[in-house]
Amino acid sequence: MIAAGAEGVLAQPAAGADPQTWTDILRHDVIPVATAFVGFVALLLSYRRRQKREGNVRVETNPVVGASWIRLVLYLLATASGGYILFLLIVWVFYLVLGGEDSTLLHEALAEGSMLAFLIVVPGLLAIEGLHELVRRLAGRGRPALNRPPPR
Amino acid sequence: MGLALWGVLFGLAMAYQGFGLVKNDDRWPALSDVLATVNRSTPGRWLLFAAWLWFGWHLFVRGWRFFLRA
Repeated sequence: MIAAGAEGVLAQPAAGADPQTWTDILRHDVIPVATAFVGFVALLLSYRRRQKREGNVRVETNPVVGASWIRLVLYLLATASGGYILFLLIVWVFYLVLGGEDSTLLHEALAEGSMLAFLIVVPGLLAIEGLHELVRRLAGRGRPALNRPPPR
Repeated sequence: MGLALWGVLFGLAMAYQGFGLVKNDDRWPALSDVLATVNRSTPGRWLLFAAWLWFGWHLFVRGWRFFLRA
């Protein structure tokens, strides 16, 4: 049952909760789940491609192992910024375009997503790294070698 | 019935993950190996971060009112 005052067939009490036609099912259920599956398969293909190109892909090299704090902060901010933009794209496509949600949801995503990414995740990861370094220094091990894979 | 099916699927996934970790062979990669490889490229890191951010926002943050009340 469409809520009173809802615009057309897009807005529902909760997106996808009350499908009226097959297009509702397509927009709210099929396309999101199919996209998630395609994304997962793309991950697997990416691994396979790299495996063919580089041979043993299990060698662990971390671009920020042993790097300076400035480089680590820039690395995290670059990751968070790119990921945040893609996150907004996900919200816009799947919630607004396909789901027919109100644009206030995008404003929520902008505010809450940025808070989560830049006020919680990035500082949290930096705090964890700081703690890790403190423990390393107390244990007398010093900073790890830059970009050297661990011995096998 | 549906819950049991989810339990079975999750159990199979965890069992394979454990097998992949123990086997340590590129022919049987664990999911963590796949994610670590994807994480080595910048677009891959952005995608993983976006998915992680969406998951956390959708489940825990969306519709927050100050202070932590839904």
